[in-house]
Amino acid sequence: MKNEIITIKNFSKSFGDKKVIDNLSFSVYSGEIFAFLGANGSGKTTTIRCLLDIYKPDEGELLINNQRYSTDQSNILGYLPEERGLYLNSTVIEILTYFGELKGLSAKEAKIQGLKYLSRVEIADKANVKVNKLSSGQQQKIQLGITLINRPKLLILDEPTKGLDPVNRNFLMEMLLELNKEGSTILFSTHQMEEVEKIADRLAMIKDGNLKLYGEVNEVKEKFGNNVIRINYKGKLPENTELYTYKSENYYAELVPQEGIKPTDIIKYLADAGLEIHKFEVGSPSLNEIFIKVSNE
Amino acid sequence: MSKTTIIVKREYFKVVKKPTFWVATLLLPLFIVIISLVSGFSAQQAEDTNKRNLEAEKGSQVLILDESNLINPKIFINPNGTVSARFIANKDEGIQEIKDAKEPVFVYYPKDLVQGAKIEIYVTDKGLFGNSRYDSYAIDWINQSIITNLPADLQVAYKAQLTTETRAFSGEKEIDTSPTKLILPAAFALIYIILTSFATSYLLMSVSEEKENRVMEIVLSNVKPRELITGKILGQVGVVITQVLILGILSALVVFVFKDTLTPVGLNIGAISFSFEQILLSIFYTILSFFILACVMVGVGAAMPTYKEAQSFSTVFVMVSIMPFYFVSILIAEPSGIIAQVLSYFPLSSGIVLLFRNALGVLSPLEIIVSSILLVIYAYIALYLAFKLFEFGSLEYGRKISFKDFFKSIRR
Repeated sequence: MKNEIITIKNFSKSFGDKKVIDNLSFSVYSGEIFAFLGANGSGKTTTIRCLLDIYKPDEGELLINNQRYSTDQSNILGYLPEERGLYLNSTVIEILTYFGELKGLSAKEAKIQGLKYLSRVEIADKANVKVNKLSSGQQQKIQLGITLINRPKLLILDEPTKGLDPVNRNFLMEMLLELNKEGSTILFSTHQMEEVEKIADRLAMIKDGNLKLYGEVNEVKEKFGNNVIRINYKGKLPENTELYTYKSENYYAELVPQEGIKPTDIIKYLADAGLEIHKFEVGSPSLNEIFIKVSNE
Repeated sequence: MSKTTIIVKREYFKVVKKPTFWVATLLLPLFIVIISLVSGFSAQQAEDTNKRNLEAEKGSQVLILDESNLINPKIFINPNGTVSARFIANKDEGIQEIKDAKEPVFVYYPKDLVQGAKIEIYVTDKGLFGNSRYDSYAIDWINQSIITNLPADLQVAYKAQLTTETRAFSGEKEIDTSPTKLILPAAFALIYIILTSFATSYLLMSVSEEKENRVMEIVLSNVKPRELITGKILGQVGVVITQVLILGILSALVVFVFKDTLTPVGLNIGAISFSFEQILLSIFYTILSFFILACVMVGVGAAMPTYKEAQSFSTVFVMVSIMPFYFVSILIAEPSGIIAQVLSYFPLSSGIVLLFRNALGVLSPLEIIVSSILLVIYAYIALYLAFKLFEFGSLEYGRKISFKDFFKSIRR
């Protein structure tokens, strides 16, 4: 039986008259990478803040290691919030040491870990530089350093790649995979579905505070069918809503068969209609398509 | 090390490591010392110049025209028989002699001197300060002349060093009226000013900085709001203790080095004594009043989106808390008057007013009990509102919180 490191049961939260989360339940297992998805304003950040006891839930249970999170557990946690900043007038090593100490390391150990991290991200020479003198990319590395300084068992990252350039985004993904290999459990929220497909084991997607999708990434994709037809073509794609719906751009189209229609029927229909098909494949819809579809429902 | 201690350490060193802290701490006393030295030096210089001028004019005679008939010529006869004054009969003649620099001074005592006419003094020019070198002598000669006309026993009585001793009573209780009793409120007032002007300002900056720089959420995932606020307040108290210690050491050094010249007239430092209860109560009032203001600063810092906005909003509260200093003379003159009574029970001003009244010994036991209970209640309300504002506003990055929504959330 899998060990639940995060348990959310029947969680609800309102701000004023607006219900932000309505009876939400899901779990994150120890050792997995879990993607927490939803459009802007869907309630992801509120859920994370309630999980970390920054906000108080109205109803339900939000547990980490089977207990309500308290800052006494901060030694196992690495949290990177969506809205993140740094003490601009402090030096890099002062900040890393301070947060290391708050996460239970001794001042000496925190400094050692801080310097190690700076070497790992190739900005060791910035240790004694004030944060306001760093580039935004370097500041993002420091924010991540604060999150990782205690080698946390549980990482909660709220849109960690927001504002990162492709190089830093790639670097972050690699680092998360590395930490996961070392045994860290990772929950992260994102709008980048390719990241989810790349690293996540399971996912949950919420919309308007309600759980819409939940399970292993492949399972979720399979639920949305295994028969999306992707084609590269030349000519004019005929419309036939009795057979399929489609999205098309630059001579590339994704066609979703209507219920009871086989992909082979559609290919035959397109060929008979005179469409020049250069390449086709039948497969699952991408997470991006699923995300858009669920969000628009 | 507890998380609160880690925060205290950070908050303390963050301020103490700043050059501006040392400039602000050392500049004020240094400025006072420099001003005192300069003014002392100037006064000494003026006195020396006067002495030198008089010394140079020692052999010459004072010209006197006495129409008041109050001057006794005998007072100008020196022990060796020489006379240091020459009496003349014409005012213009005297003025001309001064113009011709034949004598250094001519003093004219008009007839109606007792009715308010002025003694006229004509001197040869010795500069702005030197020209008044005979002013006190002209009056002194009148006094000396009058004394010489008195019988011998009255002359002794006149010359005797007379002193006073005042005792005041409030009902059966005798009130201490010595100026030394103002030392205690003055010392605590100084600490209070440092607390309100420096510590609360640093505290506000610290809370605002975390909100404005969006660090608050990371911090709150690691520490409880209670630990964070306590750590910040204690860190600033540590800063103030450092400032008070520095000022104390500097003051002690100044008093030690200049003890003979700096002791204010009538102030016997050796006579300063306070009761343990007075000191304890003063500490209690200072801490509580600072704590209330500190809570206000935490609340304002959490409610406002930027330090700048928080600072301008907080000015109102700082002004109210130092308002009693505008009434200080009334507080000292009428420590149980209506203004003192009202300000004693007003949340932000009560601490400092009670401090004064306690040092002046006018607080009845009932007033001490009622005011202490009220201060504790105010402190509790301030802490409660600070926590609620912190909870409600600290993550509202980039926008002012709506106080309407805030009070709605409290009611819920």
